[in-house]
Amino acid sequence: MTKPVSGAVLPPPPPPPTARAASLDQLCIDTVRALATDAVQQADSGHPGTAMALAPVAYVLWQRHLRYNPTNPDWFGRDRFVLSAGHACMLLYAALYLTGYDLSLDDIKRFRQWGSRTPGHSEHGLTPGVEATTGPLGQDVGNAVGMALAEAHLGQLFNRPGHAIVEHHPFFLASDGDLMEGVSHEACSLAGHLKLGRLIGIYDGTTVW
Amino acid sequence: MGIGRFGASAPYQRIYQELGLTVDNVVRRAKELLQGHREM
Repeated sequence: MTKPVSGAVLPPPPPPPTARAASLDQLCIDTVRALATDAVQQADSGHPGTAMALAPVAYVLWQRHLRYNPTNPDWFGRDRFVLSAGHACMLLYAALYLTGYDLSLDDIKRFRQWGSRTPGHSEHGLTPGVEATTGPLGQDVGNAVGMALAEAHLGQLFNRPGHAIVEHHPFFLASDGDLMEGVSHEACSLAGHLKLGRLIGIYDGTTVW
Repeated sequence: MGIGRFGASAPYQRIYQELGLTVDNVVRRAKELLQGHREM
């Protein structure tokens, strides 16, 4: 996990888990992995590897860091999570399903099928909780930077001392492929220039091809 | 032949069927076009 740039405010790290909580953590992570592999197997197409590798990251994010409301996916104060590695969308669908969004196990069973709400690359407006249509590598790092820019702008406009209205965090999860595309570098350069300190990026450097 | 929307996610044979990218449909559309020219 990349270190947030200065200015980002993260909650304090949780206490070390007890043995029972740790085994529950592991069960949750394995459940995400199993959902991803089963869905890809059933569809006979898709990318299980990234979803399996990043299941612990997704679990920690959704369980301990992200602020969201599954019954109101459009809640303005939510953190925005952008899965730039859109091909790993089963990771996102599993997280949305397990955290109580309006996405059922039957939706996941229809992964990559005609007319389903779980297409092979996540699409905004089709699946509740999906913040951006992702797939073209690198592009959605730019999308997240844009969300961070909007957050900073609205914060400047509306926040008052002691009364912050706009204070969410945009997150993006990028694979190596995302960072091989120039657009991600230009977007990150802009984020640095504009000091968008609330943007949090996670980079997955895999050695499995 | 083209499509007027973004792509979709499904087994490709199903997508070709749904979006009309099939031999039968291409032949039908081609014949319709030729018919139109004849009338002009």
